[in-house]
Amino acid sequence: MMLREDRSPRRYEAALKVRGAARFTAEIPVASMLHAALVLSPLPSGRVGRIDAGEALALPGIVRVLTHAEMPRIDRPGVLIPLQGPDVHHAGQPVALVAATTPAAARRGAASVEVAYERRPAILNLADGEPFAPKTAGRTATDSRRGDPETALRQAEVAIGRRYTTATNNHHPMEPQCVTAQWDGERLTVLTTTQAVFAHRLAIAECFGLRPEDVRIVSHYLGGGFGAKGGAWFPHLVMAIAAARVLGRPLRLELTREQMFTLTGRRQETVQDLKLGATKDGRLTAIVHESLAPTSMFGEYADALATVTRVLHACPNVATRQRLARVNAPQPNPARAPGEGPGSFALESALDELAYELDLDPLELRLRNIAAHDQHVDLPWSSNGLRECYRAGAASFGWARRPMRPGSLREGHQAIGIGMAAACYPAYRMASEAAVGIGADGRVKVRCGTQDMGSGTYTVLAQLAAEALGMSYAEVDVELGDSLLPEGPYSGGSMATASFTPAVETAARDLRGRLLALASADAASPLAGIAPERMSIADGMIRSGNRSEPVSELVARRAPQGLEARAGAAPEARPDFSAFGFGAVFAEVRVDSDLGEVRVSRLTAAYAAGRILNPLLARSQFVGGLIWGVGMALHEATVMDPHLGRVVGTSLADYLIPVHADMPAFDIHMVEEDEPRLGSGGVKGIGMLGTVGTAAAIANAVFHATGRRVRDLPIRVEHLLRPD
Amino acid sequence: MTAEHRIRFLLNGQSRETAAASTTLLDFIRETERLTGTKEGCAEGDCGACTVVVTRVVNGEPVLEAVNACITLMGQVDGRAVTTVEGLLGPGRAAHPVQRLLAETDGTQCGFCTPGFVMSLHAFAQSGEAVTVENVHEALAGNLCRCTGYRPIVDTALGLAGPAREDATASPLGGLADSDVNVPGWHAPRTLADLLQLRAERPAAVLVAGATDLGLGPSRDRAPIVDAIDVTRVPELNDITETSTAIEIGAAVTYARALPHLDRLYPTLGTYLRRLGSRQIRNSGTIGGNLGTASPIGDSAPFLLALDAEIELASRAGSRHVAIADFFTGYRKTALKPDDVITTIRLPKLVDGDLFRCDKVSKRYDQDISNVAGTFRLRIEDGRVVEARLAYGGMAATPKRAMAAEACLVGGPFDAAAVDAAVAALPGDLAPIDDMRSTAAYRMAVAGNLLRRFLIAGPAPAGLEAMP
Ligand SMILES: Cc1cc2nc3c(=O)[nH]c(=O)nc-3n(C[C@H](O)[C@H](O)[C@H](O)COP(=O)(O)OP(=O)(O)OC[C@H]3O[C@@H](n4cnc5c(N)ncnc54)[C@H](O)[C@@H]3O)c2cc1C
Ligand code: FES
Ligand code: FES
Repeated sequence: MMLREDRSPRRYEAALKVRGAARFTAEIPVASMLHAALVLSPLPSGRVGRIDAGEALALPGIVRVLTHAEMPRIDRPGVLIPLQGPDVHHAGQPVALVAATTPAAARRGAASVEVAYERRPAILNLADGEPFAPKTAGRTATDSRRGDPETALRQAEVAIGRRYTTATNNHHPMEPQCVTAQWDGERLTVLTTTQAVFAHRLAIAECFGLRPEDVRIVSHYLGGGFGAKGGAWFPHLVMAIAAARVLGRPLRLELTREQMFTLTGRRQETVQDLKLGATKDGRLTAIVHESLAPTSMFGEYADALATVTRVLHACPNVATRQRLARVNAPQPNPARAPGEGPGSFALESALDELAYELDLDPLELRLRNIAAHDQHVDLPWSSNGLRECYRAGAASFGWARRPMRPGSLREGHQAIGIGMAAACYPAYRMASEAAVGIGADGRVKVRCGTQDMGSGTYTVLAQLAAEALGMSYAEVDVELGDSLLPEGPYSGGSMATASFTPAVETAARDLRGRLLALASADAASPLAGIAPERMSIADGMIRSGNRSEPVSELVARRAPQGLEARAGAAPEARPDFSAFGFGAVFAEVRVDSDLGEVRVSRLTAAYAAGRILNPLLARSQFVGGLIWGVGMALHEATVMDPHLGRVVGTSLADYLIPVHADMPAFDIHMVEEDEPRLGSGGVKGIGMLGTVGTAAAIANAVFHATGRRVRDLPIRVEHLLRPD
Repeated sequence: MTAEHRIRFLLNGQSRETAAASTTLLDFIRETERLTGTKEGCAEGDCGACTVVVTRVVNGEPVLEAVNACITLMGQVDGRAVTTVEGLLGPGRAAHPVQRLLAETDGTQCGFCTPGFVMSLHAFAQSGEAVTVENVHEALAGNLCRCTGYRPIVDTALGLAGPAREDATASPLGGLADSDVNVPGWHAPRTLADLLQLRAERPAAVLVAGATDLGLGPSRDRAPIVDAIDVTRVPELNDITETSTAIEIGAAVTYARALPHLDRLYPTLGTYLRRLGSRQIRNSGTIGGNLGTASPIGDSAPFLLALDAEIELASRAGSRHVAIADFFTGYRKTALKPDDVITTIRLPKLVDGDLFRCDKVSKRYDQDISNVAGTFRLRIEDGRVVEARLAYGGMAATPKRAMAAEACLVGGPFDAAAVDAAVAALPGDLAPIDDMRSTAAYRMAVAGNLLRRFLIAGPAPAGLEAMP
């Protein structure tokens, strides 16, 4: 089914954003507020000694310098809330907070605080850490095993084993993190850049011994998040709230771009060993995927690197194993397609290598290994549109004309290559509530305490309510990003939309039923006496046969205070199916033979991801996801000094995110699926899917262009231009 | 000098005054004026979220330019008109066509980058440039977006095809003229003599041109410039003059103004300069400032070296010319004496038969610091190379000529054998290092390959248009 982008409602809040009128967190004025700046440890491991704030305190505008000695104790195991003690676990860790009347004064104050340290030994490199098994990997089990992969590998007609590595990445949403904390006795209001209004409300209440109802979290507009405004931001949020309490005044902390390299989480670097066994005709018989990634000295986090390996391709014998090692570095956390992004790079690169071992077209190899059901959990798919993605993507891309031999395509001094990869991402859901109401003016209001990172939540909430009610999109107002609203899902794991959709639809249908019943029972209505089942609502009019009444008139007459319906929805406890979104990515690259420079010239991708609510916005999400794949493949790396343990190059001039000229031509196909069994109203997540498989498709295309197999991300010019 | 004159300028059409000369324009807009449409994403000129349009009058005509408000200092906007995203709205807060189009194409997701894009697009639309994909990429290269993948934004720009240039309100500057600023900490002399005198009297003061290097202090580090001398209001430093043999560019001429001249005179140099910084940076930054910073990876040095440019330095004691090769004396060291000011840069023109090419190799195409930059110039008479200049940036502690390699080229025809010999000589001339951007081995290989490419693909004879 073709989805029409041109008929999609436009982004709900776009008119505000293009005018610069959407108020982001740092722009909301708060009376008599102080500004915070942080003093950071240059050492990756040590103990804070004497802190001399004398010079700073003498500067104009400085109100106070807070260290661990002055801060209230907060008990929160597993996270490093700064200023809770003298121990330093990573370079860039805050060791003092300067409060001042202006941001500039605070910054100057922070630069004048003198801190003495006792240096301690540090583990700075992944290879030096002691591997251990984490409790979980993301939301999945750490290890998995089916069949007998070791024997199958030994007996395989063809087998390969390769090591792949991926770099540390930072999320770098364009909006830096910010919090303004305001105490009023035992009540607390927090304006902050959060992807999780409700989860943060609960956790903050726990930290400060408050009732959750006494904590209000507000996050109306988020300038991107990608994972950096969830759990990784939380410790610094708590630090600022605690500081505000000590100061007895509202306090705002805004991170600098430099601090976003160390205080907002990071995508783990990975070392991944992939072994594949197959028959000569290209049926997978064994997969072993083992990985190692760093975590911090204080917290434990492992990306789900093996999710894709466990389910994407059919294979009877699969073992996956994920290990962590502690290093003196900031705590890693989820970044767009956490695990699935880097994990699929290893798996889908290895599949390409296997295809060359077998001398089999890489797409054909994948077509021979489509999984008829989810072998990992041994359940049927809710649906699996992978075959259709392969077909649609390959046809549009022109894959059939690809010569198998690497280095066969050239244009001037450019080598051209094309490659592909498959993708999948689990369809997660969590509990959500929502309310849909209508006022006497006929305007509909949706209220849901979730947030919009730029992914289109405002739009989708408005659209869902409008469609379920029969009102026009333009008549809907949306309230989100506030913990005073009905409890909504957090924005992560591509699950927000799937979580609130059934709640909004149920509430809207409930409201519709009540409106029709009102009309039926109201003698003053032209529809009096007609059974609700025989009425319909469209464009704000209730109709039955040739009788009709505008909804607004009915509401004004019968419910002048307005009407609201509230509903909740929760995921199935034990579903009897497995739900994933699937996709196929095709990449064309051009490699400069003299300089090794790589440009991605074309990206075609086809996705089967359940019900698509708004094709225009969905396309934007897929393209955004693909760009993250381009960044991961070619540009992005947070470089750590191996001796000092500090980030080398802490600006957006050093950490390269893709720019305009890096943009390929995008060609996106959406295969719409009917998903009656999904309690999400058929919605699967889409935000992550675009970042899965993309880096592998690009690396595979680079191999096809040059004959050089790059197994380490990001691909660097040095990889492709080795001096002779 | 005379009594205090405050900085006067227009903000969205309304006149404003301030004495806070070294405050950043972004802080003024967001904190003093509380116009929060303009965003701060990095405070160091890298992201473009703070882009605003500055209008000035040049020869009676308004010129609109996008600049990074985060690294623009208030002293720089004296006598200019500043437009922010809020200032684009029409009567009744009606959206500007650029704003409407961007919403229509879904060119805004999280929206944090959006006001900056709106302003870059506005400046682009008003520039009267041809609406081509290349021009659009160039105009927007200084604006980063983490959400959209840029396509819808490029579509918006392409949709701007030929909008009538607005008659930027009848009199964009409302009769505002340079007000001869003289506030504590900021001096903006109007004559060369005043400039040289100030320079001599205030040894601790810093010279400010475009502030694309210096602005980082007040912006990123919130470290104010205590005493500044603005060189950009001195006519001699703003001139571009051309004779039959050379072009002289004032030290305060921005890259944006110099670009069309250099593009016309030196093949490939236009393309090269379009990759220096971003358009916002080129609208403020100057070659004089690039020389003043003396970074080993500064992008102007290689072409200045290859062209045997001369730098004119002036002080109250008089002026003197220094060959560019003598200007860089060591790592971040130059021949500038404490009371010297760079006044002009003189670039000899190519003569018939000269071969010339510049290249910059970076990780990312746009807005990226060079791993290696190279500029080559050969003078050929009777089929033989009589003069060779091979200049590199990023290959040593200072921008450097590869003299041994040059010698390999002189005396014979410019052919593969000569190039092979020159490439073999490069390791003796250059000493690149490993750093986070690149490895020494890669740099050396690329330095050679650029030379090979000069032979095979790109020796563009003088006078021909730049190769794409
Ligand atoms: C985002 C970004 C990207 C950049 N990209 C590049 C790039 O790709 N390539 C590159 O080479 N550079 C780049 N730069 C650096 C910078 O833009 C250039 O060095 C620019 O040429 C500096 O010029 P300016 O007029 O802004 O100098 P300013 O910042 O005003 O001054 C720089 C230095 O020069 C001195 N100075 C200025 N004028 C004179 C004079 N007339 N006489 C004596 N001394 C003087 C100043 O005192 C100061 O020390 C970039 C900067 C930023 C912020
Ligand atoms: S804030 Fe990023 S360029 Fe100015
Ligand atoms: S829309 Fe989010 S950074 Fe551009």
